[in-house]
Amino acid sequence: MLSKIFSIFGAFFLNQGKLHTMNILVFLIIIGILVAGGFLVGFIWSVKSGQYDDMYSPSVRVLFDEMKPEKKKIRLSLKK
Amino acid sequence: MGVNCIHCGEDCGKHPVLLDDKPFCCHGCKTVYQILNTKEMGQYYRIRPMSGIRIEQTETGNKYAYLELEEIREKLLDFSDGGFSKVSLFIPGIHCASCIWLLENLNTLNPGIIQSAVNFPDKTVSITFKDEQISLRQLVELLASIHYIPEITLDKLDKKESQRSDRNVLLKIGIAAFSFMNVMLYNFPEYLPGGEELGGFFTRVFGWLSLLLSLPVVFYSASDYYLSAFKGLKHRMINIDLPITLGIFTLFFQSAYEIISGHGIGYMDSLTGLVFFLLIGKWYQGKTYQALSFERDYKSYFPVAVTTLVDDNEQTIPLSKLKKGHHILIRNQELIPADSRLVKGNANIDYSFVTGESLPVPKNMNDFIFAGGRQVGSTIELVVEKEVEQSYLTQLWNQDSNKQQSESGLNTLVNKVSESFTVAILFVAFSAGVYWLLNDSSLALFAFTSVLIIACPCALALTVPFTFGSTMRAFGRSGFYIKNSEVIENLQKIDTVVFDKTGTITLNRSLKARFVGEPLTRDELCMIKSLAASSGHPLSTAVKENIDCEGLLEVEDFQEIPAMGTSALICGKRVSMGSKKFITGKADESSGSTAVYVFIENRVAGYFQIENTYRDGLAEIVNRLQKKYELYLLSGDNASEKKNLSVIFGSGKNLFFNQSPSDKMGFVKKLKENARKVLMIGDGLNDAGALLESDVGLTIADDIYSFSPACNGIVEAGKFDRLYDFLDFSHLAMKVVKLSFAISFLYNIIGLFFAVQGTLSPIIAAILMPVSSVSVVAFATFSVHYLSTRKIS
Repeated sequence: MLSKIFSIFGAFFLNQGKLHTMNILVFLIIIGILVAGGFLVGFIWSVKSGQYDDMYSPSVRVLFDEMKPEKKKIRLSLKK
Repeated sequence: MGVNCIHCGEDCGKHPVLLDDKPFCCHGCKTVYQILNTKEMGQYYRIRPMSGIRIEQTETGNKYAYLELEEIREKLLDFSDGGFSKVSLFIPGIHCASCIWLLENLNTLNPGIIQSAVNFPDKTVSITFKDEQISLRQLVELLASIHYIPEITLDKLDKKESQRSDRNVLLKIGIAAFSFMNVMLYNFPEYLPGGEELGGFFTRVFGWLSLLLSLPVVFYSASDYYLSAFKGLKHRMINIDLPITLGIFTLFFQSAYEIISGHGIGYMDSLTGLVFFLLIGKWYQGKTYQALSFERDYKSYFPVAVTTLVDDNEQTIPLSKLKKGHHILIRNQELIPADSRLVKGNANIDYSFVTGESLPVPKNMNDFIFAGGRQVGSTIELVVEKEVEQSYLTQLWNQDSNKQQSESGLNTLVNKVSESFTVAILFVAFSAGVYWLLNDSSLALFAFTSVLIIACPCALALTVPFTFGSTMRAFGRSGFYIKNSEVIENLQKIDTVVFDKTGTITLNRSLKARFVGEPLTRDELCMIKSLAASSGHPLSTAVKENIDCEGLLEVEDFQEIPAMGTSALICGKRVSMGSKKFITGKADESSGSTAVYVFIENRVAGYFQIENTYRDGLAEIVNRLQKKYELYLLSGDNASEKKNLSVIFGSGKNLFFNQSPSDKMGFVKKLKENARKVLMIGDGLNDAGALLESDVGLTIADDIYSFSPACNGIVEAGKFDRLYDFLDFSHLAMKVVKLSFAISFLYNIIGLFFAVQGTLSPIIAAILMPVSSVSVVAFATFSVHYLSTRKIS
């Protein structure tokens, strides 16, 4: 499967004639934009969901032990 | 300063909470410690139900009865649906990890609470609860019982929008950063020798991509700068944002033209980088103290609801429904919300916050009582004479609110500099354009735009945010919290300092009592202390606290006559204490001072002279300030302290007594008319007008989260003696700004050197812009940090 994909890519670069070695740049750019765009979307989501509103208490909260399971159940039922 | 909390290690401040002589910074820590002690040590934070918590039955009485009113409940709740409600409460007491732990485990205290989450910088807790199991009132009472008393005030009820602007800046920074990084990647070949050999195809692709990516930056991320520049122009002012806007637009259109016409790749990397750096500066400066409020009005001072009497039945109504003619009940320590007339009970009104009088004022039947006072003693009944909005105190606030316009900050140094800067740049740009038009017309437009591009005052615009932002943080670490960075600039212009007396240079609830008369025996002192301890009057408390004697004697036949004094049988002897008239029968002629006369068995033993206690280091700080500033003292109180204060202030000519709130405001106004730059330091509502009128108004607060009038900054009470250092540091901060300006001008001159010759290449722009910004930012931040560790911490 994987080798098939690679062979398609390889064919693309080899068949483009003169510019073939540089065409990898186009892919890099597309991948770069997609990856960076993914992080941007993640960042926008994190800001909008208020994760930057309070930068202190999460650092403390992580040290508290999990509360008993009953609480989790209630939380789940709330979401429904 | 004080001791450290035995539990969390934080500074306990002046009043540690004690348990078995161990100091705690708050009740939260104490509670957690108690749990720890009752259980095994290893079970810390793992105790299932909070069995160790003793919920103290504090006497809240009907204090929170108003929370059962539907209209108040509705305003307070974030949402309420299907038996669940969510509420966000402001709790100033939140200050350490134990607080977060306790408040987030509220559900173990009451099964009706489903979830609670603390927002630490805002000092709020949002709680989701089941309506049928716990009411809002019970919830608030529960919080109060574990010493986390929510602050519920009128102005919080009225406006509920959260701080979205902080999030917006973050979003803008994120988008600018994303575009900046990618565009820089596309422009990277241009930075290298031989980059032009990349070929037309890639130059075009990269160009179009950078044009695409710069669109959200230009039209979203940088939009605030256009708005600000436009606003400035509307006021016929050139502010720093105008050259920035010019620069951004020139960069954008020049680059867009180059890309679309296929000439080149443009300067989109410089453009996106510029916006990114500018926004970082804005974010850095904008991080202020979220939980502090500098913009309070009477609404946050007054209670949310009042108890009215309707046909002898007590009924709680929201303050907004209070009308003329209503009978209201005011209990001990409650505020009088509207101007009214006394009809029942012994009124003893503490006006210290409103007028600056340090002692409660007794009132007679049918006396007119101004709003804002606090009743001390038993419950009284009043008839409302004026509605809340029309009371004397409210009017004082309202007449001030329109004054705030004048401090919109258009006179700052940056704006002055950028005004001449913009004019100079436009001049250079046009001259370069004209010069090239005459010599080589193909370069004319390029030279013109190059000048505008390179002169875009990025470093200049970053100087102030970073210098003053760092200064604000340094101040904050030392207990001086300012509203925004403009205050620093105004601080260093100050040449006159005006003090309020009560609560500002004196300690709030602490009076000194000095005995005048033939020396008393130990037994007699003990008798006096025992009598004083039986009464709740502030003067009695002052006498009590100033007598050093172990153990109290039994008090029999205790009588307290309002506005006169107290009397009782102690060890079989009649002891009385009170006003001169009450004890000696002669009227008190000396209007200035306050004295408590003492009568023991058969003679008038003498009197206690009541004096204010001054803050620690007052004499020293006045002494230091006097060398550089002109000092005034305005007191709403009587002149009894004049002698003491004259010693501290050197002479009595700048001391003014019996000043009403509007007198104070007028005084500051007059100083300003004489071209003085006035710093007003106050604490109460009586200073509110003067605080607003002054160039910089600071309030002194024992608890920085408690109510203080609208002001430019809040000084922690314990840091009062550092005032001179704070003022001094503002001068240093200004010097740093000026030096940074010089550095950024240097970069601009280098850039202009290329620009006017028409040889500005993208690479020069791309190097010069970030290098100048980074070096200026680094210089500003590090020098302020270095200076602050030496000068104010």
